[in-house]
Amino acid sequence: MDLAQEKKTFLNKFKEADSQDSLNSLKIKYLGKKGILSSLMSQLSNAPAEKKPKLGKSINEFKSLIEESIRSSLEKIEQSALDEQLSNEGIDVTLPLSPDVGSYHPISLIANEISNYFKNKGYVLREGPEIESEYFNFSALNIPENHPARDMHDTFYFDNGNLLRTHTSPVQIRSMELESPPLKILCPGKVFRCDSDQTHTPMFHQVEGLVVDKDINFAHLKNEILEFVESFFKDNPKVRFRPSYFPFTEPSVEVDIQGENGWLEIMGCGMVHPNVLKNVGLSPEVYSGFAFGMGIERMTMLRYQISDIRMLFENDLRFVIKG
Amino acid sequence: MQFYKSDLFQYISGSISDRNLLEQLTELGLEVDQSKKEKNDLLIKLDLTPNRGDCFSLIGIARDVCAVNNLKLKFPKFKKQQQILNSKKTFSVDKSACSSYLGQIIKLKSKGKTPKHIKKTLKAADIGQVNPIVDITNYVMLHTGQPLHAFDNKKIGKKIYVKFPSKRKKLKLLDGSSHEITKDFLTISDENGVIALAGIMGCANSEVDETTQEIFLESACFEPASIRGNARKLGFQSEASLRFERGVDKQIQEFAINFAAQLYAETFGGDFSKVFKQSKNHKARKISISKEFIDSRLGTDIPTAKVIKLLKALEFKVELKRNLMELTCPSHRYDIEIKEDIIEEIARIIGYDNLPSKRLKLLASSPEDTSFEKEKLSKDIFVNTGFNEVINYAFVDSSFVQMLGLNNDSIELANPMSSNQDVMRPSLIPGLLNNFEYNFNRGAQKFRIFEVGNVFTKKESWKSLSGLLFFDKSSSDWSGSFQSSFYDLRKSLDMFFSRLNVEPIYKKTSVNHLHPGISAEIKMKTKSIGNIGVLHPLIQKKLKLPEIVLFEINLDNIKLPKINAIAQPPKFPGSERDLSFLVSKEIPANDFIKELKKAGGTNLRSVSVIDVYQGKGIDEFSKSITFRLFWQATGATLEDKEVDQFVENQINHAAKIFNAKLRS
Repeated sequence: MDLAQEKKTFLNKFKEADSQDSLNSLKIKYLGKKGILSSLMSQLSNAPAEKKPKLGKSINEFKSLIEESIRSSLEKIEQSALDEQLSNEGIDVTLPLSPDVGSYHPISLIANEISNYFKNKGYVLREGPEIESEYFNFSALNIPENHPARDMHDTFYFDNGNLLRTHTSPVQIRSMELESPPLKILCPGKVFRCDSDQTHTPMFHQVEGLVVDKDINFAHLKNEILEFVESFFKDNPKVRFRPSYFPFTEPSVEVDIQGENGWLEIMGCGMVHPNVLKNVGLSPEVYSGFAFGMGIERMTMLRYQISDIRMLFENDLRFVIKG
Repeated sequence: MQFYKSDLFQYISGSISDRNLLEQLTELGLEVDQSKKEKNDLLIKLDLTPNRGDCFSLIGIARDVCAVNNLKLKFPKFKKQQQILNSKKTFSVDKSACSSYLGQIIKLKSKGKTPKHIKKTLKAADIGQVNPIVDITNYVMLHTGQPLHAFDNKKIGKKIYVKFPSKRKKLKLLDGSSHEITKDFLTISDENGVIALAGIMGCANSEVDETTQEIFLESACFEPASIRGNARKLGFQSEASLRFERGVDKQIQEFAINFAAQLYAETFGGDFSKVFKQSKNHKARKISISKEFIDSRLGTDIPTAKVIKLLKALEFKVELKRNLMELTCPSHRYDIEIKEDIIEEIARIIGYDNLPSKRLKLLASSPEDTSFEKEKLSKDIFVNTGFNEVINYAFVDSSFVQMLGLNNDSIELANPMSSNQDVMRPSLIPGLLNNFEYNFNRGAQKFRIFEVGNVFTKKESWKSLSGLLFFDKSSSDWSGSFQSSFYDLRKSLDMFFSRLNVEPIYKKTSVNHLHPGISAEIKMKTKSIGNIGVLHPLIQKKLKLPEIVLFEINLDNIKLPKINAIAQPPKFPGSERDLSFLVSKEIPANDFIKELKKAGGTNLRSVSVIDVYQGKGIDEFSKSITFRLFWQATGATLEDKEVDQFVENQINHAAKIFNAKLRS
């Protein structure tokens, strides 16, 4: 057998082989036990000794050629078969789906954002009851009975004299009664006043902060508020602090930010009134503190440009904030 | 308080632009609520805080404006009218309730007309014109802050008593309203009875009108404590009570009566009696404060000289004794009581915005209330399983609660806003049903909502978590994966429990508002923590709603998960077996699983139900239930014969306990 001739024949046959079957039979014909390669190998054993190395090398090269050609051809055929199969399995990737996307109530989102901000500043979250006594809601906060300041709070009462808290400030008193300074707490929660119009609902949410220790001063309060405003209102609005009146703080402050159409009230704050400190057994000569409180609805309305507060409690699911 | 700028500037020597004035007022704590340009004037409306009773007067506001601008206050002087009228009156005044009572009898000589400038001032203040006599009293009040009252002197007696009545009395006020007053209402009375409610309103029996020829003009200082709350008890607030409740300048009564007398002389011409006067010596309030205290509370370093100058501008008298400033408070500042009030005055005049700010370096730490974390975790889980959070009012309609059969132990509000918000919610379910109804009527076809909030009964209050699920099957889209059912909602709830690492059990139950066949009590050990089920078909029918599923659990009964060590997963392969049993359909799957676990040995890792079948081929009292059981040991590969033994035990156990037969 002539190696060169066999090689030529193989290449011709290989060219014709275009299916898995023909390639496999070609493989058997050449590489099988009784195949052409094994006859060539038996020829090799009869060849003169000096020609053996060169012939052996040529036969091995021929073997590699056959193996490689058939393997790569088979691979190509398999690949194109797979390609065809996969392309037949194709789906419409654009069909619309309607996933059940959950959502937080916007008030929760804002309350959470504010709580997290202050938590990161070392404030500890505190909770208090929504049904309160006259003492915690008013008297302990330096709002005696018949004081005109009580007119600022249209209170819901129960027959036993208890009431729905009109602000989150009673949590200040409860916390100060339980823990001694240094105190740095934040109390978010529901509050209630008999009032309902475009900017008032009978239930709303507040978040209140309180810091009490030695040497706490007005400059600390100002800085705390300025930093918060900078973080919450992304466009860094101008802030105005102006005198106000709350029976439980002195001096008392109202904080405004500059909006497009003038100043917008965002929160009340002040230095804890000495009577409040005395009411929980702290000496106002030794301790001082500040407190601040804001309406979460107000902050929510500012953030999402909502003009009617009542919308927040309709729970219309077409009005859902994603995020 | 509403007024014209021109009226205010009668008392200020100097001028300030409109814009600066408005800004300054707000920055002084006298918040400008509205302002309006009118002809050559500016109408200003202030929203005053309850502490600034002194600013319910033009003079009071002018004082603050002068102090902050370093301008001089023009305090007018009135000459006393010639007192030729020799009328007599005797007085008996309760001086603890009325520190000063002044009166003057004025015989009006002609019929007067209310002067134009008085009309303008009253109109600005939104005080209606009555007649010239009354208009003048109101005008003087707006200027001085001192409420005056004019009685028709012919209608009252010779004796004037300022006293608390000894018994309840019925009376009719100037505005025509009738009241019965209790013993805590301070009155002005004569020999025949009550002629005015002190500091609130006069009585109809002594009213002045167009025919009045002689008046008794009262200028008194009633103590806030004797007035406070009384007007509100009668259901209104008068211009007088508004001022007296907040405190009126104890030294201004004579000035005010002279002011009014001059106006009566100008408007009517008149003969004047002497000014009768009953008063207690006024003791000015004194407060001592040091520079150190001021600086320590404001975080400042303000020179003492500056503090003194500023307080003097506010009419405080200041004496410097070593480091201590001894201050005598002006009588018009009823609100200044303590050192901190002085600090506010200093801050106010310097301007809050001009004070320094400084970072607080305090870190206080104590453990957070765990309820916040639990609430947050609940919200996160339900939002992530496709629920929308809602927030409802904490008060609900008691008749709705009753209709749902929820709880008859709810707390009633004494003064609800409306009858459909008359009790505190004993459950979140009424709110969720309202939300569903609202959205369903607006076309919602898919609905998953939840709420976390406090609920209340007469005995206790707790934090509740409740959810509601609805899906309109006819609106199902091509993907069709959503199924409204008890199990869908339970799956979300199971996910929640699994995240909290608790394993409550569901036990068939019957609660008023749920379908008796498709509802379960949720129990932790022996404690019931809530329920889940399809809304009772009768309620559903009454509300004209489709089928919905809801749950409610008491969050206070669930603890936050403890941190456990993470166990190494077993390295050796496990064995899986499927077993089908034929058993009475009344046997809950959960009970069956419990028994399989008992008989399955310690290496039984999981039991799941892969099929439940009732119907053809099985008698009507039975069901076929197929379990997939998985065993795995930690130390070695389990031998088949070991597992076979467990399976045999389980089959025997199930036969014994449930009379269950293995299906081949």
